[in-house]
Amino acid sequence: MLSLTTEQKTRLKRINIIRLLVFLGILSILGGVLFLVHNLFISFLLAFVISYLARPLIAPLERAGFSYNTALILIFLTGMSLIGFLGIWGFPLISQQINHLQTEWPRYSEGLLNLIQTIELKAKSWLGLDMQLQAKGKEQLLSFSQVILKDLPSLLLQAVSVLLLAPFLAFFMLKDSHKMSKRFMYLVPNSVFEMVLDLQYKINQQLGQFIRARFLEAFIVGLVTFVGLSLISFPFASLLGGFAALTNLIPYIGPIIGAVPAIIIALVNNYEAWDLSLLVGVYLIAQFIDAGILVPILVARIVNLHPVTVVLLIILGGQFMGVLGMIISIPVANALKVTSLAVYEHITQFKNGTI
Amino acid sequence: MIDFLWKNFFKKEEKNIETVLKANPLFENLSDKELKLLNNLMHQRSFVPGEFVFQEGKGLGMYIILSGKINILHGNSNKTESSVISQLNEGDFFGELCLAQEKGYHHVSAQATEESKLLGFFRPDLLTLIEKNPNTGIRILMKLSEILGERLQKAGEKLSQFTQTMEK
Repeated sequence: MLSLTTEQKTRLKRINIIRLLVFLGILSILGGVLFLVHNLFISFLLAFVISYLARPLIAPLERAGFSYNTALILIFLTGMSLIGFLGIWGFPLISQQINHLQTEWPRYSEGLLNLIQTIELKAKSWLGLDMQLQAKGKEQLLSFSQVILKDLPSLLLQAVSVLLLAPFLAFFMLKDSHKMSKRFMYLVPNSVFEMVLDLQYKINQQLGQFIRARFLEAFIVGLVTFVGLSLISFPFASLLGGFAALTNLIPYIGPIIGAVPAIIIALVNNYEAWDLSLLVGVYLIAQFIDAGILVPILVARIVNLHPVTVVLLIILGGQFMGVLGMIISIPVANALKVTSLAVYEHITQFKNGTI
Repeated sequence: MIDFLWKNFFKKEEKNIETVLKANPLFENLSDKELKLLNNLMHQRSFVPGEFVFQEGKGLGMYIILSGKINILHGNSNKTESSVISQLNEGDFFGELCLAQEKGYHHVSAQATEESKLLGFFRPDLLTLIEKNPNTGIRILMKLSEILGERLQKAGEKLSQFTQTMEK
């Protein structure tokens, strides 16, 4: 066997150190830029999701004889025109509902205050508790009213710019992902190359499955909620459906948060018991479909987090990034868990293999 | 001027890779287009003299030698009794058994004896190829099973010879 001379050893070491430094440098610059520019992070995250959702559509087109880039352009053009048509159809509906919400808002906030007052009075007479809920609630509602009445249009505009940037980023992520990952792989030292390649492949597969399953699940739940609410001619069906889809990304408490606005609307409007039970029925059916059909089929691969972890993460996400942080903290944490599980499994296996 | 040199240098290298690939029994019946696709999936790695390509243990795939010399050894660097089984040159390949296995294992170690350039082709690359272009993937798999089958047959023949001499 050939043993290494000291000169060769130092050379090998130097090559590996340079490779490692370049690799970490690129990674930290990317990470820094992403975390410093608030909205860019969200666009990037969305682009990541879009790229994973679009990826399985490319392979069948390639099998049909299209080149990778042609397949990619075809998918994006189809997607864009689909979203365009949906926008033309859906934008008036949503803007109408937002307008409706803005005009109705004073009535709702008043109704909510009344509701709180009744609860407080009852609590006082039954339990002897003086919670001063009304005063606290009024303050909260006032600041929230400001958001709904004044800031909602600008917030939506901001959301649109984030949403428009995401597909653009996703396109280039998909177009150059192979080249980029190959360059990254080139920097990996020879001694761990096979392990890193295997790991990269496995993480990619599991993350892809996880993201696709979660988003398809949320989409179907939102759709079911929207259809159900439309059927019982409940107001704000599309907004509430979208909200239910978003909050469904949060396990355990997400579905409950998703139903809260609808129940408040029903209570403020003094719904009859029958109508209220219909409303609750819609949300329950959506959850039954989720738990009974979607989870067993789609989510077999999803690693769920412990309820306590979920609550902690939601609070943490809220601290850092507000409502959006609450929504994205769980999927991000879940993705990290999938990744670290794959890494752990791999490293233990690798160790067993070499001994 | 530099650009011109750079381009020519690269063109030469690309051509070299495709001729090496074409000469490889695994890929001999692939078209130029398929070879290009394959080349896109492969990983070029360079090794300094004395560096291990892999050591006995978990493995992921095969390497083709573009330039340089590789020694195949028994055991790994921790064992002193490791000995050279064979010496491989430009155009030779090794580690292909791992391509066919879900949990691949290198039973030998490979070490570069001079500055070497290798082309790596691994199980994830093969799986990606099968997903994108099943026809090409199947042809490679057929060739792979042919090579592995031949080797198994030879091993069986050797084993029966060995048992015969043992019985005598």
